[in-house]
Amino acid sequence: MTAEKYEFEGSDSEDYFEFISHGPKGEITKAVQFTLIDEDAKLYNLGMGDLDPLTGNVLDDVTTDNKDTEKILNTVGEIARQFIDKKPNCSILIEGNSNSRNRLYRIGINKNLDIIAKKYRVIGLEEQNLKWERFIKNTNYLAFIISKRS
Amino acid sequence: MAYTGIKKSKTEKKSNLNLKASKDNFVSKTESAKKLIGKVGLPLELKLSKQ
Repeated sequence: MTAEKYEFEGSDSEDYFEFISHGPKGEITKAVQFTLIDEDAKLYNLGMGDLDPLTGNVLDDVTTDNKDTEKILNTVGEIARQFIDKKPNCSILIEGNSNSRNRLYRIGINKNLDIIAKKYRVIGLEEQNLKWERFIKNTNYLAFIISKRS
Repeated sequence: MAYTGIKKSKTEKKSNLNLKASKDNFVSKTESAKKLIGKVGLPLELKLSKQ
């Protein structure tokens, strides 16, 4: 079965994307951006947030609760997959702005780890020792790095 | 006429996306990520690929 995702559109530079979340709170435009944070390591930070309909600015500290979390995670996962596949040797850093957001990312990775691990390497920043390690299911991480396997 | 409208709307949407892509829309997140890497360093796998 194919995971349910939203359609998304990207900029010509293929590092900024938008899609619309549909749910009880209405239609909410979500923005995803990859920003280079270490040029030598080709490490990009993944930013995700809601577009403020009034100002057009991105809000990255809001909890929308539009009852479509899984579909959003699937969509962001697909955007990240396309981004990594198009940029050779790049890696993506995913850092939630709260424990609950990191937990959500961990659940998303856990759920799809078998599929992800075939093509990609997932590393987590272990919460207790602040050390990077190969992603282990049901471990708490502060951040994640995903790269394509060479 | 309708086709022109759709085409224009798609062009506007693309140009809007390109405009947003031209700046960092997640400045505080980017700074936080840089700070985190500065504090804990890169994983070995990325350090090796840097060399």
